[in-house]
Amino acid sequence: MSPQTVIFYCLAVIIILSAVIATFARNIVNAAYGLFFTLLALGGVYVLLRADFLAVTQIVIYVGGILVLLLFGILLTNRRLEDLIISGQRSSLLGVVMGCVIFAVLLAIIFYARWPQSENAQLEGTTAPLGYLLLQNFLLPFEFSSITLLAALLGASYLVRPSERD
Amino acid sequence: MTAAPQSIMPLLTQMTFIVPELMLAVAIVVVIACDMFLPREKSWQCGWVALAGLGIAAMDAVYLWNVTSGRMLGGPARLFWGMVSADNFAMFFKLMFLAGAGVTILLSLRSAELTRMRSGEYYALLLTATMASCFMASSSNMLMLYLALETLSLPSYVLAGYRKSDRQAAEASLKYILFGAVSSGVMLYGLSLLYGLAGSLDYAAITRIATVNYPVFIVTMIFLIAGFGFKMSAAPFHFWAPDVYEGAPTPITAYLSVVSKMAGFAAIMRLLAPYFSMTTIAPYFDAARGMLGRQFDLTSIFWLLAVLTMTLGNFTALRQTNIKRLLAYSSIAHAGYMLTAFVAHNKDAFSAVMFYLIIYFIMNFGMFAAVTFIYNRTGSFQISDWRGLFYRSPIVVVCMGILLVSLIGLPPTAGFVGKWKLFVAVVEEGQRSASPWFFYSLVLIALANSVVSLYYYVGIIKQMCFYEPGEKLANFRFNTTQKLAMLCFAAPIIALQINWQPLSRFVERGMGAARQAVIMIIPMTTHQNQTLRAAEKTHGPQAFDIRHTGDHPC
Amino acid sequence: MTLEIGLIHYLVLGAILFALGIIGVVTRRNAVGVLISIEIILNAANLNLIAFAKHAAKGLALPGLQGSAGLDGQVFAIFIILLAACEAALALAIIITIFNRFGSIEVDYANTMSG
Repeated sequence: MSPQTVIFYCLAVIIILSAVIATFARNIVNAAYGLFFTLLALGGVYVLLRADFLAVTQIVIYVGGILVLLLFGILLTNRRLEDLIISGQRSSLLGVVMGCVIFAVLLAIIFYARWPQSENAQLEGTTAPLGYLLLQNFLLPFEFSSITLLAALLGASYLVRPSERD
Repeated sequence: MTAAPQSIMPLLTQMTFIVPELMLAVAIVVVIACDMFLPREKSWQCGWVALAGLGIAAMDAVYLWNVTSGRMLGGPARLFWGMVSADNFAMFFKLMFLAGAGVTILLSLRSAELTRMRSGEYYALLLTATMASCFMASSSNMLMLYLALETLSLPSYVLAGYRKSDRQAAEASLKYILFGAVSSGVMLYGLSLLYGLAGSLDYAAITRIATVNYPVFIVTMIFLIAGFGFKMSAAPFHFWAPDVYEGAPTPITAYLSVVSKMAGFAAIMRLLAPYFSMTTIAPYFDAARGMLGRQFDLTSIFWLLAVLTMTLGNFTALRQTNIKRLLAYSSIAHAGYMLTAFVAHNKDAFSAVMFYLIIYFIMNFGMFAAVTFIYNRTGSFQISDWRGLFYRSPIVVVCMGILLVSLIGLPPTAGFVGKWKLFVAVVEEGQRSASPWFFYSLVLIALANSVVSLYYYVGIIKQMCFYEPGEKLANFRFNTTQKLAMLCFAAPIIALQINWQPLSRFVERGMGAARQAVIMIIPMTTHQNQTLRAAEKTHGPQAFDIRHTGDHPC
Repeated sequence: MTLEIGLIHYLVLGAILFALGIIGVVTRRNAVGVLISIEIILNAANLNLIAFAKHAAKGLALPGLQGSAGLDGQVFAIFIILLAACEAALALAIIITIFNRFGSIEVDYANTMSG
C-alpha cells in the first residue's frame, strides 16, 4: 500500500464523517465545524490530485472566507444562543431516502461509464499555467466575473443597509 | 517565454462583437456614479441613464445582427477562444433581452411600488442581469454558461426582494435564493459529469461522447435540466415562481417571467444544438421500451417535462385569485408549451420556439403593464378588484382582452399563430417518426391544456366586463400614456395574426438563414469579417447544424 | 476496487458528498443549515471537476508548456469558488434581512404566502 493510498483513505474518512456531522448535527455551530473539516480535508485531496493552486485557494477562500461568513451569519441571527441555535429537522426520512436513491444512481453511472483516459503529462506546478489560462483562453469569463462580484457587492450592501424609509 | 497565440489586433476586433455587453457594463458604472450625486427623491432619474445605455447597446446589437447574419446556431464562428459564439441566434436573443430590459425600466419608472425608494442599485442590478443574459444566449462553453447563469441569478435574488421593508418581498427573496442555489448546484454537478464524459468544457465536445456512455449522458442531462428548468420555471423546478412573482415588484415580475425565462431557453437550445444535430439520437434504455412504442431517450425526458409543466401550471392556475400568482402559473404553463419543441428537436421546432417567445414577450409584458397601471390606482392585485373595469375604460379592457385571448391561443391573435407553429412542428416530426403517437399524444395533451386555460383567462374577462364597478374603481381612469402603452402591446398581437411573415423571416434569420440583400444596408467592416473567418477556421469547418436545413444555403 | 487510487475513488467520494448535500437541503429547516449543505454540493462538483481534470480531460494546448492536463477543469473550479463566495455573501445578507423582519430564520416561518 503506497503512502498516497493511505493518505487518501484517511482524508476520505475525515471528509465523510465531517460532512455527515455538517448534514445531521442539530446544533448549527457544530454543523459549521463539520463543514470546516470537510473543506480542509478536501484541500488535502486536491493536493493528491496535483491541484496545488486550488488546494491553497480552497483553504484561503472557502475555509478562511466563506466559512467565517457562515459563522458570522449564525452569530448575527441567533441572539439567544441556547434556544435558537438548536435547529429542528423536518421529514428526515424522506430526505435520507432521496439521498440514498440519488447516491445509488450516481454509483451506477460512475461504474457503468467508460470515462475517457487522459494521456497528458502531469505538470509540476499549476500556478503559472493557470495564470496563462486565465489571461488567455478564459480572459472573457475572468473579466466578466468582475461584474458578478460588483453585482454581489451592490446587492448585499443594499440589503443590509438600514432602510431610509422606515 | 510564450508568444500569444493571437496578435493583439484580432482580440480588439473580437471585442467589437461584444460591444452591446460592454456598453451595458459602462452603463452599470455610470448609473452607480449618478446615484451617488442624486438625492433619494431624484434617484429615479438613474432609470433614464440606464435606458440610454440600453439604447446604445441595442443600436449596436442591430448593427451586429447584420454582421453575423447567415451564421448558424452552433456554427463555428466563435470568439475569445471558443467562449462565446458570434451568430444570429445570439444576436436575436440579445435584441430581445435589451428590449425586455427597456420595457422593464419604463414600467419601473411608472410603478407606484418603487416610488420614493433609492433606485440607483435597482437599475444597476437590472443592467447586470441583462448583460448576463446576453452572455448566456451566446455562451458556447460550460464555464461561461455557468458564470452567466449565476450572474443573471444573483441580481435577480436582490431585485425580487427589492422592497425590503415588505414582508412578502423578503420571503420571496429568501425562497428564490435557496431554490436557485440548490438547482444551480445540482446543475453544476451535472456539468462536472458532462466535462468528464466529453473531456472538454466546449459544447462541441458533446458530439464526441462515446456511444457506450449514452445512459450516463442522459442522467447528466437530468441534472442539467434542474438548472435550466429553474430559469424556465418548468415543473418540478417551478416552486419558487408563484411566491417570487407575488413578492417581487411587478416590473421585476415581468422581467423574470420574460427575460429570465428566455435566457434559460436560449442557453438550453444552444447547449443541445450539437447533440440534436447528430444524425441519430441513440436510444438509452431498452428496458423502458413501451413508452408509446418507443425507447427511452432524451426526447422522452422532454416529453415528460413538457406534459408535467403545462398540466401543473394550468390546473393550479384555476384556483388563483391574485393576478400575479395567476400569471405566474400561466407562465409556467407557457414554458410547458414551448418545451414541446424539444421533443420535436428539429429546425422548424426551434424556430417555432423563438417565434413563440417573441409573442410571449408582447403578451406577458402587456399583461404586467396592465397589472402595474391598475395597482398604481387601486393598490390591489386581487382579480376581484378588477370588477367592472370595462365601464371605466373600454379601450384598455379591449386591449387586455386581446392579450388574454392570445394567451389562450385562440384566433384572431398572434398567440394562435405561435401555438400552431409549435404544434405543427411536433406533428410533422411525428409523421417522420416510427412511433408517431409519441408526438401526437403530446399535441393532444397540449390542446386539452389550452382548453383548461380558457377557463381561467375567460374568468378574468368575465370579471372585467359583466360586473358593476367595485368601490376600489370608484374614481378610476387610465391616463393617455397608459392607454397608448396598452394599445402598443395589443396592436402587434392582432397585426401578427394578419401577417406573420415578417416575423417568421426575422426568426429564420435568427436561426442563421442567409440575409436578404435588401435589408443589408450597413457594410460589414473588413476587420470584423476577417475575424469571423479566422474564428471559423480555428474551430473547424462544419457547422453543428440542426437537422432539416436543406432550404437554407449557408 | 484496486488499492491504487484512481478516478473512480474520487468520483465515489464526490457522489457521497453530493448525496449528503441533497439530504441536508431537504431536511434542514434553518436557512444557514441549507446554505451549509449547498456548499457541500458545490464541493462535490469541484472534486469531480478536478478529478476529471487529472484523469479524463483532453489537454489544452498551451504555448510554451508541454501537455497541460485538462487545466480547464481547474479553472472552472476556481470560478466556482468565486461564485460560491458571492452566493454565500448574498444569501447571508438576505438571511439577515429576514431575521430583522421575522426574528427567526427557520424556513417554515417565512411562509405567509401559499397556494
